[in-house]
Amino acid sequence: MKKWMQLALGIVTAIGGFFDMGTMATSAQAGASFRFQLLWTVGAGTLLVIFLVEMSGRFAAVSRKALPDAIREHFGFSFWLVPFVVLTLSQFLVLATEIGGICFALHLVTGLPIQLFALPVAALTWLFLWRATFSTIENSTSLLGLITLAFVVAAVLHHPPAGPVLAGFVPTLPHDNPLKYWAIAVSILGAVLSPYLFYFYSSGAVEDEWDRSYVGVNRAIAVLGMGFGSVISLAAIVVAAVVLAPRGIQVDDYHQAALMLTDAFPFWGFVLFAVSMAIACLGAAVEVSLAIAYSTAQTFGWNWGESLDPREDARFSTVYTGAILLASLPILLGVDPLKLTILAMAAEAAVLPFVALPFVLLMNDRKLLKEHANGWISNTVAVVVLLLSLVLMVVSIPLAFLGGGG
Amino acid sequence: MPSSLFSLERYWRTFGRTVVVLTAVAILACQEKSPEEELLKKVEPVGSWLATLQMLGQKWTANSVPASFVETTVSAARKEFKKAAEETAKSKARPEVRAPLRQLVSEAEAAGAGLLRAVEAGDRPGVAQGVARLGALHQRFEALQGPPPP
Repeated sequence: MKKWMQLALGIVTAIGGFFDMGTMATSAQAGASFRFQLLWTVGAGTLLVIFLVEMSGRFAAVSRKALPDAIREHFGFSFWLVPFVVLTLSQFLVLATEIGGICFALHLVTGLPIQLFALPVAALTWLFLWRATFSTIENSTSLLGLITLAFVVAAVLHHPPAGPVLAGFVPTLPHDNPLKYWAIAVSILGAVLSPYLFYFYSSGAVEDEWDRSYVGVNRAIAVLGMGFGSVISLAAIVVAAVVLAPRGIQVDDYHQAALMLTDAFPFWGFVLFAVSMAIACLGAAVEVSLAIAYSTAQTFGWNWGESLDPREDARFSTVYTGAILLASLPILLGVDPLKLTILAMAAEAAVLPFVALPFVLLMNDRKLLKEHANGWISNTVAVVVLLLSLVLMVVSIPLAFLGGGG
Repeated sequence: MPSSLFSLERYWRTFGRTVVVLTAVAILACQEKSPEEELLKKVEPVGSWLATLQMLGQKWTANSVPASFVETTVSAARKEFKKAAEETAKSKARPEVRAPLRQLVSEAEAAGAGLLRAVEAGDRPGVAQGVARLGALHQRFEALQGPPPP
């Protein structure tokens, strides 16, 4: 019974946690600029992330270790150092974008300058982490995150044309502006295949004390949770495609995206957008802060655990405190949240091979995982992810600048 | 030793070369564009912002967005119009391309300011007029975005 509860909770967590500032921005840009033509990127990214999350959870359940911990132990500190540094840098950028997202949502409803909210939002995020246990964080952000289902309801209410929507799942080349097309495609893949997601997931599984009996539950969570989660992202593309694109509105600024839900919900649409953005970003900010603290503590062999009292893992708590404070600086200094998001998504895509390679190597360790080591299906997907990540590493940052992605 | 698989130096060398090649290709690609094409590309967001302000006016009239949101969005649009005006002023495009663009951007700026004034005054007919004006400007902009004269 407990496992079924965890399954339900895991699915809700994935739905609530899948949609963040990155997926929101890239989906709105994709739909507004290329209508349904980029739906395939979310579909492909989701398929790959299901496998990565499943592997990450399976690893944690069988070995009772989180990924950074195991990689350091297995390959040595010097091998893990480069992936750790690039992962931390990209996570830091993502944290800054999520803080920017909460600030922007508050700016939308109050009309006050975004910078004004940077420090209070950082303090709120920190307080939430300082006071709450892992399960409180998991449950509250994921349940509140269900508000993002408003995008799915809006997509249904718009009755999008089935033919073009289905055709969008088949990769096609753009009619014009190929640089922008590929910049958005790469950003979507960066947003969906967030390295922090599967690293965080393995630490969460250890926090939740998973064991081998959770392998099946983990698989169901990965498939159903990520699958349902991606529906919100797909819905955001559809809504932008039917609301913004026909009017000639492109998303060069979040103010433009904020109009997305006002056709489907004339009175509540604007508020729903702002609340969805704030909650999705708060959930992601908390997760990314924890992910930075988890990977740092595990890299240096410190005590860690969100459910521990901060006095018991002082260095772990200090890391997320410092990370949150530093990540609020770009917004405080007036950096545009959308440009920051596009840069963060490109950085996430660029660091993927660094963090995916040791992960895949570890998943093939039969001494450690025995019969739960990767089989040929998982390894085929892993090779696809590695090849794709190598391409993304080379093209993502140049495309973000050249493609006008932000 | 796995670390040899993961040589940071080798990665950065390959990455650096690729960035240089891609940047060179992009610079060459940009150089191939005429000043007229380059200007039209740079001011492209103006059309999107005109459409945004038009929708914004309609949504304010329908009580779907608050006045404070109109204010911040118009402010964001005006920044973009200002940027477009600067690009137009410093462009080497031919005057027959530059002049109508400069005129349109200046009218867009005025239309944005007019929309904001009407919203602040709670003047619904004024907002409707502003929306119509923005719609006409958007159409004119779309026409200008067609292929430049030979």
